[in-house]
Amino acid sequence: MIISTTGLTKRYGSHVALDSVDLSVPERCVYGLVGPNGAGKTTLLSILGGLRQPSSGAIAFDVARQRWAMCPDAPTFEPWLTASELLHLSGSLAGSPPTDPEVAALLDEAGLADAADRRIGGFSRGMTQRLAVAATIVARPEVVILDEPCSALDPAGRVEVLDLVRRAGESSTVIFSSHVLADVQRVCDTVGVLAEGRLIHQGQLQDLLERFALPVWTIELRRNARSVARALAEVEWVRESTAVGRTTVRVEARSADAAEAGLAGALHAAGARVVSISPESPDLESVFLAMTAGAA
Amino acid sequence: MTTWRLEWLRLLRTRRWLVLAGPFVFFGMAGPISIHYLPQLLASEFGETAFKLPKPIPAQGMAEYAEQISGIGLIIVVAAAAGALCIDATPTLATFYRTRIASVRTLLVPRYAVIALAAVISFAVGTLAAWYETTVLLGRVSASDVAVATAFGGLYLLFAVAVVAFASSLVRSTLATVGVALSLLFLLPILGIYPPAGRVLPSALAGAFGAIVLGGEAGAFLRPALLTMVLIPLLLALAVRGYDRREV
Repeated sequence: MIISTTGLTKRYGSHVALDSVDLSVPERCVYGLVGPNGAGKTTLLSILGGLRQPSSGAIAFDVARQRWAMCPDAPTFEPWLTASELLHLSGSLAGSPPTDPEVAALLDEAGLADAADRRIGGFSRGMTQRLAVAATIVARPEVVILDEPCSALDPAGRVEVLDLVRRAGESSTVIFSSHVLADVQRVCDTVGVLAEGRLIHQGQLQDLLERFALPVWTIELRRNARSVARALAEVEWVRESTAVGRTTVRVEARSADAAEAGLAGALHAAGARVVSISPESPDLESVFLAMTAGAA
Repeated sequence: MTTWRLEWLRLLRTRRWLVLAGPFVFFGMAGPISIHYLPQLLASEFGETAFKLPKPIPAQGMAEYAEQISGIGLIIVVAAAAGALCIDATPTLATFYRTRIASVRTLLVPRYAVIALAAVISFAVGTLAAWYETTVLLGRVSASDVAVATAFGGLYLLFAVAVVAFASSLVRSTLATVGVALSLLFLLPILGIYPPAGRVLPSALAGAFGAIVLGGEAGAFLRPALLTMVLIPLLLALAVRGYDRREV
């Protein structure tokens, strides 16, 4: 693990912002930290970033202090610097001054090539946020901590930043917090779910999705969806069978195993003319809602 | 882009150099003029026969400059320095800097050096202006006296900026830093009422400029100067320690 915490706790008076968090971040992963507002994401990232001290618990880093960088939520910079100067400064402070072509390339990737020599004071919030991500990865750190990097972005800006994050993940370990779960699902391979200061799950994103996978199939038919749905509803392992329009049937099974073994036969017995069968895959949002509802 | 270049750009692009140099040059020009034309000014206000003033001596022109900058000049230096030295005043900006450096020393030393040097140069330029005006309007003042007085006055400004750096490690906002720094700087002369302390405290340097140009003994300010030279790095070290221990 490149970063791990043991029993990490942060209290503000009587309020427990983090409650005994045992975080494990594998090397070269894009770790998505998700949780509702007030779950403790920013507090946890601030502690990892060295900006706050934990009340108790321990943090172990397997990387030198100067080899990681953090981008806060709602970043601000000296308004009198230009975008290009900021990237040069950021790299120099981190001990890895970038060359002019490197800065130009990174600004281009961030969609800020035209604003390279403009002062940051005139930037929109979205431009500032993209610049912040570029300033975080300019020194090619081994660990990149990004707190809600897409929070102020329009859809195009969001795609650009997620692209930057994905590319950063190819050479660095990225810890990325967001409450836009589609973004996390898009770029992260590992997730940690925080709720009320507690880490209620962490692991591979795919494992999490499979754990919460529902035994539900969507079947596209040539015709007669209603009669096929009625026939399937009589099958022992079918919990619910519903016709959606004239050609689609949604089948929820009591168990995935039974459905995988018997679905083809049941459809044949019902006289269905099958166009396609596809399992419904859960998205992170539905998994997250199920998990946090359980935690609450 | 080094932190030294960053501070140079901060000084130029935020116009802090103008905020510092402007008042010093203004008072440097205005001090001797006001002394020279004081009889005419009073006569225009109260009538020709109301006052009979002795002819001003040249040193009074310089002393008038010293008088004006010791209050307003110090406040301007403290405010300009606080704007540059309050690293944690904006938490998100502090996050940018603090997550890229091992110690705040990397930021604080160039910030202190550049703003303190700018304050001293502004003071020196103002002194030159006052000296020129005094020479033209009132008569010659000893160049060596002015040079020694400027050295002591400049040292006091270096101390004042170090006090601001220390104050910025105690509180976060720029306004609070100005308040704490001015309180500390104005508290020292009160401590100086006790004679043994008054002879060695840095606050003694605040009056050195006026005293020396009016013919006072420069040697009387050597002990406070030595103590000040010890206190400046000490205050900066305490500031770095305070910052490094503080959460953003």
